[in-house]
Amino acid sequence: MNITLTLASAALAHAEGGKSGLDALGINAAAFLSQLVTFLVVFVLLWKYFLPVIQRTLEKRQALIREGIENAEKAKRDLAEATSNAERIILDAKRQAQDTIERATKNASQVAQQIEVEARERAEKIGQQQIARIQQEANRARMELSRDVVNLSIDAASKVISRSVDSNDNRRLVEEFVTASDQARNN
Amino acid sequence: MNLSPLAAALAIGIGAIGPGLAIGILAAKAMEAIGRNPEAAPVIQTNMILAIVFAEAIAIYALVVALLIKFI
Amino acid sequence: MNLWKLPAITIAPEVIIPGTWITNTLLCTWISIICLLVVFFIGTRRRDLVPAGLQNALEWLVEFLQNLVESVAGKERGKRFLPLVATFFIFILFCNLLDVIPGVDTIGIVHLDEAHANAVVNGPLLWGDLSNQIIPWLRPGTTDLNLTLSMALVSVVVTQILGFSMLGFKDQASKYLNFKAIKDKGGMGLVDFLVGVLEIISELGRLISFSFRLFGNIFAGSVLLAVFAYLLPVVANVIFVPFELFVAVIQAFVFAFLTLLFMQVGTTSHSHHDEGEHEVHHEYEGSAVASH
Repeated sequence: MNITLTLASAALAHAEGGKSGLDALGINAAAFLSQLVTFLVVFVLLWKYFLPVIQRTLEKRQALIREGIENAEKAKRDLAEATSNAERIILDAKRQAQDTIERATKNASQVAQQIEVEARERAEKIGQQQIARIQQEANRARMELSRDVVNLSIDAASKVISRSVDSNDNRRLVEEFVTASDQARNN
Repeated sequence: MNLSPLAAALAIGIGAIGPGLAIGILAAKAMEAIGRNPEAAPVIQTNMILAIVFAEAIAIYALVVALLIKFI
Repeated sequence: MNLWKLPAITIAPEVIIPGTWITNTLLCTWISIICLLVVFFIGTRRRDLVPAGLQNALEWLVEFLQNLVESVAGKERGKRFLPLVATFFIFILFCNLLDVIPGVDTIGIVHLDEAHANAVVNGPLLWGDLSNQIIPWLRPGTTDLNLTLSMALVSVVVTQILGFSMLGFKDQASKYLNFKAIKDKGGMGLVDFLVGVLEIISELGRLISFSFRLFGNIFAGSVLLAVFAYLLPVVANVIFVPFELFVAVIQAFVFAFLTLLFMQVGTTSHSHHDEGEHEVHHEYEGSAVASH
């Protein structure tokens, strides 16, 4: 700092007479002022015109970029929401379909069972009817047969004993015999 | 015999030793500090440049002296 | 006889238009301003959303400076500091870059000194003994102390103005003439007062260091190019021209950045600083109590 002071004072001392230090360094009032004014002109031009223009452009672009990012984020959010909605709907639909299918399956099996049961019942009923009819027929046939046998045997007996055995007692006798033999055969 | 070129050369030559050392030490310490604490790098750099400027100013005074010797 | 002679090295700019004060450096300063305005005019003519070419480069530059200023001074002060800092950087950059253009420093009018007063000058190219008998038409603006000193003056004065307007007259004046310290502390306050006086001297020293740093670097650069054009033509300058481009950018940055730093320091109040420390202290105590 002392050097600075000496320098300044030396320069001042020289300035008073002859070729000064400032002259040697090329410093003079006219050149200095013109350079100063030149610089100030540039300063004002940049300050008042060019820098604001560029800064405005930069700010506008930044605002635009920010807006774009916000829009993109919003779009992303919307997309996520829509996707979750769609998933939910699909899930619901799936569940409903499952339910419907299950219900349908259950119904179908119920119906099938019912039909089966009915069919079996009817088949049984038909079978029983048939058996009953066959038995009836068989009974009737047997009765006819036994009557025939009784008649035949009475005829045969009357022929054998040559006399009519149409008395009621005899007839009963023969019938009892036939029934007994019938029962014995059945057993 | 004209010794003024020698005087000018010595003025700037010797005058540059001190600031050169100072700037070297400053930069070394600043690097060390940044190495230890990289988060503080901007602050350290700013202060380093400020300190380097003060050291460099001394070399500039030597330059001024040398120029005055040479051209007056 | 040498093919070339070492170019004559002069610090003082020469008046090249007789009868006026227009020197070769002033002319070159105007040319760099014209370049600057043309570049900015073309660069800002189209304000596309997607920048390309020159517009992109300018916007990158302005954004870089904006971020730099805001990282040092914060958003609010950065807005006030930016114009001057950006002007320093851009203007000095344009002036410095002219340094490496061929023809600057080497094309000029022949001016014979006493030793060669009778020599016959022929042809547009000068050879041999006459090769340094020339006054260049153009010399980069930043190799003129008038320009660097005026810029340093602007830097220091604007810093002071900002100091007065942002701290208030009393605060700013007490930085340099600290009578309050003497009144409050008596003998010990004298030290503070002397520190204030030293601040005044350092402001003056800043004027010199600002102007001579820029001038010294760029002038040394142009001398370096001239000397190596003499020692090893063409070959050496392949290395040194890129180096000078680097120096041009660095010096422009240093000038702008230092202005920014001094503005930031010059508009920061000392008393504010103390209050901040007190607050931190209280917070610390509060947290200690809470932990108990």
